[in-house]
Amino acid sequence: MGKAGSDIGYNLDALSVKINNASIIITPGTARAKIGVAVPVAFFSTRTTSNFLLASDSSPIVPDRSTNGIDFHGSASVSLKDSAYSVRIRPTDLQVVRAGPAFTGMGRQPDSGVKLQGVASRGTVELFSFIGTVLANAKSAGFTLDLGGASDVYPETNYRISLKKGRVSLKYVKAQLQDLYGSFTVNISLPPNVVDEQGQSIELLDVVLETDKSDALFGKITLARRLRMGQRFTLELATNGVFAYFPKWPFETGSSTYPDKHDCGTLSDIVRDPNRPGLTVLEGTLHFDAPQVKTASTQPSKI
Amino acid sequence: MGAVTLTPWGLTGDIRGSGYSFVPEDQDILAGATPSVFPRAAWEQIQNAGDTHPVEPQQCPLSPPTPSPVSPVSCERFQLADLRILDMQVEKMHVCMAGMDPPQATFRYVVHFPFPSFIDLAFEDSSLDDHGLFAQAKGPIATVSLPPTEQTEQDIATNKVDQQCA
Repeated sequence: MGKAGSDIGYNLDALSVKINNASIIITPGTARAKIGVAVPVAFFSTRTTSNFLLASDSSPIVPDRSTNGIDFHGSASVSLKDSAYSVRIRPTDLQVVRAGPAFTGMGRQPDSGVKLQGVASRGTVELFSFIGTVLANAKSAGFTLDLGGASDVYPETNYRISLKKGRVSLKYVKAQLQDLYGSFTVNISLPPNVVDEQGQSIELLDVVLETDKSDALFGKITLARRLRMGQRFTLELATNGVFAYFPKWPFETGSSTYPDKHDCGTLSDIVRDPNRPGLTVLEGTLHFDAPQVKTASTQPSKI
Repeated sequence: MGAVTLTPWGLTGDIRGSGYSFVPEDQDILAGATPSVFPRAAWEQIQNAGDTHPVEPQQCPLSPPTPSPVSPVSCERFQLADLRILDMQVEKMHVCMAGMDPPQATFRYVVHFPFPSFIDLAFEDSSLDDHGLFAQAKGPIATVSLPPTEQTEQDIATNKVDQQCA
């Protein structure tokens, strides 16, 4: 067993590695040291210059300078570029760094890179746990965000969406957001003014909504009930004839598309916009329950 | 149809008729019709029903008779004097259930004028009241031309051949 002198710094691709020489412990067959790794984040985050630091008190070191440590720690919060999501690693979360010649070239192992885990937010709401991989070449990164638990979001006035389970995946290639896709199983509570034939408010259960680079929450919905429209009309919806679209979620106070003081003229103008939020019936059958022949007389009405 | 959005304040949007809202004569309108779920009648059927000499309109009994292939229309549900209504549909309808406005609908129907004119005219009615009644038709909006049938086109072709032979 022996100890070395001053610290050693070098790069593994775009990762900056610093080994604390005073901490190197060599035993037969292994060598360990206190290692710090600076992970570049500019290519997948809104940060433009800084890196974030991961440190391990005792990580294996090998002569070719590769790092294969499974007990790195750090504390950082990073907003993911071109998305509404951010990730946060907490001091208690274990991170993994696998980088160096042993993980590159023809024999490159598929699990190489900086493996991150922690919690993730959408907007200001921390909804997810996440795992992610940042490749040492600082060109590619991927993140998978899993819904941490049931949570209610309010994507529009009088709408409530209960997120039950879901996952969002983001992939960055060549410093660009190449793909973003998510799917959620949710319950949707419709506005109280939207009622079924019996005048009851409506909650849709186990609806699948998706999200993508547009950042909206959307999906086709089966609503197997008629909607009441006044005293005489009911609207029977075709299978998958309803489209849900929520561009803002979670809803932030004051960002509603619809005004608090509503009149039919204003609402009609809003719903002509193809990006109107809410559920929209695109296909169905209008039922008109009003006899056009006055029944007080046995004679048909003369129009 | 158009699109109706479930806004935070209620249903709002525009509905367009599908063009398949013909009410079969054996449908009990008195019980409330759901026109769009019924198949459109063939033009031949409509013509057979309409191209008759004026007769005193026969009022439908409460239990309408079953139409037969020979006489598919046994009575008239809608009557404008001696006229027959051939086709009925909600052409367009603006809905705003978020305010106090009732649905505003334009109901269009095609009326067949029998002998001696044999023409079909379309009328519009936008007078939907709180009781669901349309009661003030305006028109005619436009005349209705029957689409050419394969039989007709074949007849024309046959006539041309006959003329060439002659």
